[in-house]
Order: sequence, then C-alpha cells, then structure tokens
Amino acid sequence: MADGRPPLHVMMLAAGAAGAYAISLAAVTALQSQADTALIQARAPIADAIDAVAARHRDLERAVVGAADDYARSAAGYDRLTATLADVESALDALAAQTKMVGAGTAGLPSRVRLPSVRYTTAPAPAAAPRTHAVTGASG
Amino acid sequence: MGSPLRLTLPGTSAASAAWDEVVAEFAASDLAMSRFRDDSEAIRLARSAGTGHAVSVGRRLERAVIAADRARRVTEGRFEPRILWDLERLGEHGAAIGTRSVAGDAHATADEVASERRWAGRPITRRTSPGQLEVDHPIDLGGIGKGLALRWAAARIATLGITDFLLDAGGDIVLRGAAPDGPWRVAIEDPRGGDEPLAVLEPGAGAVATSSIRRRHWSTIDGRPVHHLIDPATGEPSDRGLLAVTLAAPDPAWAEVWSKALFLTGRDEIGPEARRRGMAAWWVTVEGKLEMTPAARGRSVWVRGES
Repeated sequence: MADGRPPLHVMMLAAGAAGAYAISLAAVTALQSQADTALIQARAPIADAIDAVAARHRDLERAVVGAADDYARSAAGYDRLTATLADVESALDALAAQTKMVGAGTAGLPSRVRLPSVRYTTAPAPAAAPRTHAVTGASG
Repeated sequence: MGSPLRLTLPGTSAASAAWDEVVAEFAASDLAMSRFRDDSEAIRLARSAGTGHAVSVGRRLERAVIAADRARRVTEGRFEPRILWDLERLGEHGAAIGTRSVAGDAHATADEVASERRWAGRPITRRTSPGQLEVDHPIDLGGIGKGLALRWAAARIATLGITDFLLDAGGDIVLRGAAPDGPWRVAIEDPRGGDEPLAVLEPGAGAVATSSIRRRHWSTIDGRPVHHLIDPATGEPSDRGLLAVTLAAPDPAWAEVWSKALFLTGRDEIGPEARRRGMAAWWVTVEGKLEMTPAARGRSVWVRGES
C-alpha cells in the first residue's frame, strides 16, 4: 500500500470489467453485422427491381429522344414536301393553261378525217388455250 | 373448309414435308373456322351470338375475326361476314347454330329480315380481352378463312426453304417463284360451264381468287334459285349483273375479300372501282362477256375469242 499502486483486487476488477466490455462489444458488433447482411439480402430483389426500372427509364428516355429526332426529321421532310407541293401546284396550273389551249385548238379540228386505206395483217389466234398449272373458279 | 388441296412444286426432295405442312395448317384452320363442323370454334362462337357472353377462342379464329372486321371497314361494308343466318334461311345449312333471329327463319318476310339488319357500321365483335370474343350475330368466315389458311400454309412452306410452288385450295391459289417450264399459268374457268377457260393468266408471285356462282347455287324451299354471294344490305343473293369476279393480289385473303366485294359492287360500278384501286380484276357479266382492268390485261396471256 505504501508504493501508491492500486491494490491488486482493484486492478483485477478493472481488468475483468474491461474484458467483459470487450466481449460484449464484439458480440453486439457480430449481431449487428448479421442483421445488416440479412437486410441487404432481403432488399436485393427490390434493388434489382429499381435497377430494372432505371434501365427501362433510360430506354424510355432514349426512345423519347429518338422519337423527338424522328419528329424533327419528319417536320423537315414535311417542309420539303410542302415546297414540292407548291411546285406541283404551279405545274398543274401550267398544265391547265396548256390543256385549255389544246381544248381551244381541238375545237377547230374537223370532226371527221378521211384516212388512206391501209393493208394490215393480224397474227392468227391460238387454236386453244395454252397449258396451265391451275384453274381459278367457283369455290366458296 | 372442305376445299380440295393441290400443291405443285418443282423437284421432290421437300415435297412430302411441304405437303404435311399444308395438310396440318388446313386441318387446324378448319377446326378453327369451319361452319360445317359441329366441333369448330367458329360454330361455338356462333352459338353464343347474342347471349352477351364472351367465348375463349384460339389464335387463328381471333386473327380471322379481326381480319374480317378490317375487311368490312376497308370495303365499306360490302364484305360482311354476319350473313350466316341469311345462308341458313336461304337453305345452305352448316352445323346447327340455333335461331334467335328472323334472319335465320326460312319463312321470314323481306321486311322482317331488313328490320333486323341494324349492325351496319358496327364492329363484328367485341374483344373483351385477348382470346375472348363476343358477337351479336353469327359469322361466316368461309371465304376469308380459306384465304387466311392459304396465307398461313404458304408461310409454312416458305420456312422449309421452298421458293417455287403453287398451292391451290379449290380455285383460290397462292403462287411463289416459277414453274419448271416458265411462269405459273392460271386459267379462269367459264362460270357458265364448259372446260375451255375464258382466259389464261400469268399473275406472278401472289394470289388469285374467284367469287363465282357456278357451284354454290341451289333452290329455296319455295323453288327460288339462289346462290351464296349474299348482299349484306338485303340479306339476299346479289343480283347485279355478274356471274364471277377473279382477282390477282399479293395476299390470298385479300384477293378473296376483294373478289367478293367487287362481285357485290355490280357490273355498272366494278370497272371504275377496280381501275381506281389499281386492281388486276377480271369479271364475267350475265351475258357471259369477260371484261378486265388494264392491270389484268397486262397479266393475261390468252383470252378466249381474242387474237
């Protein structure tokens, strides 16, 4: 007692308490680790589903972007078509004017024209129908 | 559908397998769409008509009904499969479907029949869900059903790698590639009878179908001569100056649809309509005269009476 050190039984008590604390901490840590592992495993399907949804979302996003591109291209095509249609309309107007001129010219033509006689020959008609592979007819 | 089948193809190595595919497809299509089989899906659907209950059907019948409804819309109602009761009333009987309508009554008056035809413009069926159909009137898928069976059978043959063949189902024909001796040639029979054809065609790849009154005609119980090409507007056999219409088209089902629709169009309007649509169509008037569109002229290699 005269050397100032704690008595032996106090030191043993302190060491025992520290050991018990260490064992308890290790046990609690182990239990917590097991619980975390089980939780992670239980959540795995949900995580998978979230990943799948995210993937679908990305696909959808790509599809929307693609559709937007298609729409832009279609709009551009429509613009070009509109311009072409205007040209066609102009051409039709010109054709109508020419048709009107032709109509006027036609009115001045004689209704009957005397043609010179011509010699002609015709190929002889086949005596019978050529050979066939099937017949189509009444069936139902 | 009861049509005689004939498959022609050059070579023999894959002929047996191709024929097996054709027979299997027509057997399955017959079980789905025939109005003459008591156990067909189409008859089961017909018996449910007007009850308000949906019926589970297979993919073939579902696709056929959807195709028929589209054909009705595209032809502006001239192609109309809701004529089954009319055929029964006129005396062409299939498997029994029961009668919940004057349209199926042989003694019904024309006014009574007309008063019931309020379905014009309405869809043929309600699809309550995939594979579930509900109908108000029984439907006849005979013509378009055969066309679809030809389409599906031709697709099955093509999966065998066969590129040249002719498949004939009682006068409705699918053609692919060419014959060993040149292009496939098809004769148009004379609807008035006789063995000599009216014309010979080289239709190219695609299909040829004919609607004609040569075979399916009969007399009603009161002795009136009738045939199977029913005008949906009246419920009576069409009487618009035509005996037969032949059409060449890329697809056999649509060749069948348009040959029937053009037949119902009648002799006065068939030419302008077929030309306007760019169709290759041949038709025979009640006087026996063969007429055709420019597109049909280009496919005709021989015409009776022409040099």
